[in-house]
Amino acid sequence: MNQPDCTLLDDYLASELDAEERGEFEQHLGVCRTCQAAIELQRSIDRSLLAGAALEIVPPPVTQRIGEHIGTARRRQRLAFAMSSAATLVLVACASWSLYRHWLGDGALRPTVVHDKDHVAAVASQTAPRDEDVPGHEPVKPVRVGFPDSNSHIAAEVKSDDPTVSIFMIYPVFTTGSHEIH
Amino acid sequence: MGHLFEQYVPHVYRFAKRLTANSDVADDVTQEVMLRAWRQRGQLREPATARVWLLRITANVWNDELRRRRRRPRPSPLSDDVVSPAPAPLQVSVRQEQIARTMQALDELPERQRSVVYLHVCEQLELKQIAEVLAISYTAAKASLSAGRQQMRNKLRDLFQEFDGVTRKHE
Repeated sequence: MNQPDCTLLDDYLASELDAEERGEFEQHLGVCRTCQAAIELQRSIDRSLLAGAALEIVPPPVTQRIGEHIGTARRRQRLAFAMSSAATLVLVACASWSLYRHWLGDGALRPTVVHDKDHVAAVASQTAPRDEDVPGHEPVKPVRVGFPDSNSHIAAEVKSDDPTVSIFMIYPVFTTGSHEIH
Repeated sequence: MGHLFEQYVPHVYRFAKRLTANSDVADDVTQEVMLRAWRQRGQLREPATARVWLLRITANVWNDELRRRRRRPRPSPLSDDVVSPAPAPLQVSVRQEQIARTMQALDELPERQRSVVYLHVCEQLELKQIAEVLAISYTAAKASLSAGRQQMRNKLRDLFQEFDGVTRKHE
């Protein structure tokens, strides 16, 4: 194996030579008895390795234990999924109930609307013409709106054609963690 | 167990046996590989690459085990069932002995060379795939294959010539 081309023997065996190198090595192989013998020996060794590996049979208990372990893992995964689904459902139900109670239920924190009779009278005396004097018009009734707290609602004024009437759109504020949904 | 993985249990077991040189440890490694593969099955994008993927997990599991052993060394030697060095000539055929001695020569190689030679010859993997399985460079895989094969040829040359002579004499 002292010729330079002999060094390519293992690359040739591993099919790692390009077409040109392969051609050159095969030319060399035609005259080098050392490489011919090495290739023949290596092919015999490879055949023995393949046969030896094929003789190694997986013991049946191993296959059985693998099936059992995976079965257990599968059952645990299903149980974990079922429990997390149930927990999610409970959480959604609690959140829904809490929101319902907060905004729509008996104890809902809604804005309170109070008819201010004194204010109505005061405004009515300064307002001309009086609404009740105009056929088909309801009298203007000022109201006082109270909020549960300063952050619970947003009041947005809408343009009104009547100078004696102010129109506000009132939006509740839902607070979830650090986010606010209007 | 998924049918896809089930068919590769023998491949995993044989590679584990080569890595560990111990049937019991190979059993444990095979079980751990198949369990890990089942848990991580979502990561396998292409079923055609399942065999290489499982062999890579096998190498990983064995490396993890080696790290654990280095932290907590065990008193007993690792290798307990390397192929018997000298089977009685009358008990086994010439071919069987040739196979046994070849497997022994493989098991006596340094670990990386042993893995590379095994994966190339017995699993028919290309050097690029072997590099991927063992998490080494292509150049390292190529050098290990060449060195391992050369060592095996040196060790087995006389034996194969002798057996060829015996075989020819009986033909």
